[in-house]
Amino acid sequence: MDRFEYDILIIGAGAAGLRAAIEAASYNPKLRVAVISKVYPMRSHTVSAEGGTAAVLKEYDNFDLHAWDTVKGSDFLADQNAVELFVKLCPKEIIQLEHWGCLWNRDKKGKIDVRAFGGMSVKRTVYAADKTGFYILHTLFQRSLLYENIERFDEWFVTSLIIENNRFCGLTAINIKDGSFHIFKGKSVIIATGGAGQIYAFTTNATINTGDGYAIAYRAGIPLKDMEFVQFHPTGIPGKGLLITEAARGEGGYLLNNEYERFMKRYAPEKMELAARDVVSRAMYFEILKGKGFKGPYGDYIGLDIRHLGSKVIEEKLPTVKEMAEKFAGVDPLKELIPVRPVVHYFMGGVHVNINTESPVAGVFSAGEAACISINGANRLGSNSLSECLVFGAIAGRNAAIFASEHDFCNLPQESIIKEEKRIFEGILKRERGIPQAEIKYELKRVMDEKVGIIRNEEGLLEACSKIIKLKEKFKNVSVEDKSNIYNTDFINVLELDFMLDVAEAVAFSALYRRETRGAHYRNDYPNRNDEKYLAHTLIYKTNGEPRIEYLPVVITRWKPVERKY
Amino acid sequence: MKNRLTYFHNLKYRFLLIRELSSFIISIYFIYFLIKLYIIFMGKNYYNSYSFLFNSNLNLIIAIIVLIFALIHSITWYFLLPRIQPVKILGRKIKNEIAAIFIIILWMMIVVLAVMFVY
Amino acid sequence: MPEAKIVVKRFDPKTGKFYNKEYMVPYSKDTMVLDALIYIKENIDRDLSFRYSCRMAVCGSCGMVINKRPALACETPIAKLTQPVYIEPLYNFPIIKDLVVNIDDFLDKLMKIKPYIIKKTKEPEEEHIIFSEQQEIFRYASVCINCLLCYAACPVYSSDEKYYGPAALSLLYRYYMDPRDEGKEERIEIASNKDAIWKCTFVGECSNVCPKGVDPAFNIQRLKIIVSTSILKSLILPKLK
Repeated sequence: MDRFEYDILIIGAGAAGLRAAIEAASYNPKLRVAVISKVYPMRSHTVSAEGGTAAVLKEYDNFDLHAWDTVKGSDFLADQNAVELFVKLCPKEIIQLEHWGCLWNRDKKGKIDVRAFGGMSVKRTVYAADKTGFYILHTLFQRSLLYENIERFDEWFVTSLIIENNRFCGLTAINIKDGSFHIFKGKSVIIATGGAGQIYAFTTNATINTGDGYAIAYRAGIPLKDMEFVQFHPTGIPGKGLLITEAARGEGGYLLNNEYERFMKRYAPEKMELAARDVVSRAMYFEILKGKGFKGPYGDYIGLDIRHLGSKVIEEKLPTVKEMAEKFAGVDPLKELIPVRPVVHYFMGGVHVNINTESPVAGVFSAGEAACISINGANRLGSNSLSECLVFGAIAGRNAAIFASEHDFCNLPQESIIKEEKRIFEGILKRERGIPQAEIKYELKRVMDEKVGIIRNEEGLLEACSKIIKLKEKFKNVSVEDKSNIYNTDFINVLELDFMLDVAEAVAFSALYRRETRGAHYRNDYPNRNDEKYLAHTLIYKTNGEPRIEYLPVVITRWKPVERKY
Repeated sequence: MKNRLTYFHNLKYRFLLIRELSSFIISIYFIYFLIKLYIIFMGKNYYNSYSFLFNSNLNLIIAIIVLIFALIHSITWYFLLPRIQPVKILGRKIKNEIAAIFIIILWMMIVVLAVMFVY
Repeated sequence: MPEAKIVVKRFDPKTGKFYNKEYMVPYSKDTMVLDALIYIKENIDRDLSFRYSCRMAVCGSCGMVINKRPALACETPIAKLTQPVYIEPLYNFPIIKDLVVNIDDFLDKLMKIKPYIIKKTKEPEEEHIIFSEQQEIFRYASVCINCLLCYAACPVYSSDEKYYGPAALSLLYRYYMDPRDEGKEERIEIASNKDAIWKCTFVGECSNVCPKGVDPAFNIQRLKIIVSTSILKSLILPKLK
């Protein structure tokens, strides 16, 4: 067991984690920063983001409009002070990335170009073909190589945070390559581990998105916020769950039902296909329910039509859409409709942090999808998430650096380390015979898809909650077949499943107690928004039994809640 | 990790090896050619004592082999050429293979013209 | 459902031995090699190790050699392969376990080529003015996902591990071409290193296996031309710099 000592520990090396690392490293070159990730940085899931990232750059646009769009998109659950800060910092981050070499698409004057996106009232989504996430991640990763005080721990799996007296002390991690257990001592930590789409079966998220960050914070006593809000992206390829970017609709694509009708005109007459994602996803779901979907081998689907855009636009602005349609859906987008269905895409909720990205525990910060600040409220607008990673990644990096400069290391409590080592190695790795993790994982995915999906109700949620509790019991019998130390993915998958069960619990219980419909959280037994009771964030705390729920009022500065129409 | 025999592993690498070797064979042939020139240059007596070098049928066989290698080398080179400098006509990139065939036809025409000019 | 015969070349780090193992996996027309491997891991051999993440050919994790050809497992349909499908770890890298290879050597090489914009003058207040035509000429070279298939296909890297390799040199070319970059001279110096571009023999296999059309073979030859002309220029006009 090695002990490492770093001023700042960053868990996760996606856009938020790397942006935080760069910010912290440049804030004070004397601070030593460790970036710990269970994959190599260029494999992080940011790489899959396609459409773009929002920022007010054009003269026809202004901050208030972006803020209003975001607040309206969030169904008024976003903290408005955070949104106002966020929209002001977005352009700076975009320009910063441009200076670092990101290849944004350009307009005719040689300036950064923008495209239309769902829920945005004007064109404001900056893009780099339809590989925006790829460019952001690789730009940040390659830039981070410039800083000598950033040290990377690639393929290290963080298992727990060590917290004493409400102060962060360090964390424990496993080196996946040789299976050894280590301790990192740190002054501050940034959780930037992304989402947990893997708790669902039909998801766009990569297989690494198991919500490790949520779970380690949740276990360490930090509440999770707004976990019931799970975004369904309207256009995923049936069967595989791979994403067709919203930019396909932003550039002018249509959604068609089996009568070749643009059905969105009945649901969102003004914005049509470019309404907020929750609205479009639900509309598609209802169309399929009415029997107006096309029949396919993986269930009914809706057709995405980009044939009329022409090959030039598709090749220049949507090359990935074409590639994905051809490779994974087996259709030629120039001649046929692309089959799509709503798919789990993003977690609006996350680790409870304030506008400065500080969690209730001193020294623990969080940014990106892992955090809930919250600017996304009940529904995130497409292209706000990459900006969020950059803006709040930078804020988290700076604040963590300030915290690390002002505080000293604290002593590590030995008992909790020994307990954690026991839990992992004696509790899980060494257990002889038991059920394989895949069995529990698929049961969990099924119940989440069916009961905590796009349409929810009391009965289904109650069932889901009790099922998850049962699965947690069942998990105690899970075993690892592979007992070796070196690159033991069976073992890591079990640890991930352990985390996924905790995240699923938080999602299901939060959803159960929010008895209203808001944004992505649609309850057919409570189909209306209830601002009197639920204009508040859900905070969920881990206890020994059922989790404890609290509510925290939403910060409202300038925009009073009104009816939401697209 | 180091593997000195990599070039023998797959067909493409082996072909590349032959291509690289062809220039070696051509250079050896040129040394032989220079020797023959030297013999001619040294005068009639010298030439007579080495006449077996000039009368043998082997010369023809060697020449044909070397010609084959020279053709392999130049034709593969013409196929590589458009990969380094893509050929564009009216702003549209032409397929590498088509460009290469086009260059080869052009080259053959020049050869034919040159032969006609000499005779 | 028909079943495919899949043979995986596995490596046991404990004994240090390679062995082939056969599996029968059901497949349909859109089953990818990655799906088959996941099926094997979940239903047959839970101790099989391999890397994967995004499932959509953009994270670059699942590079492996399939039927003797380096490819991404997530985008290779089984139905299009001849059976038995033979799966090996990426060539030319040290193997950690089964299909997992150690790619640290590539990261070292990435460091050497300085993969970031070098700026000597002050940054502009706003964005640089760059026209589409200026950046579209090298955009193809910037989409490298670091899957390292090109390293597995490169016979030069196979026999000489000091060689910088196709992906790293492609990125060098990408940054050289970037109109914002002000480190042209440094980049020419890096390219002229004895382990860099001049070791490339232009086999061209890197470009053939590249899943993203980065065309490293082309980029390296362009670098050769760039370096040669800069040497010529400095010989003819030594003082004009």
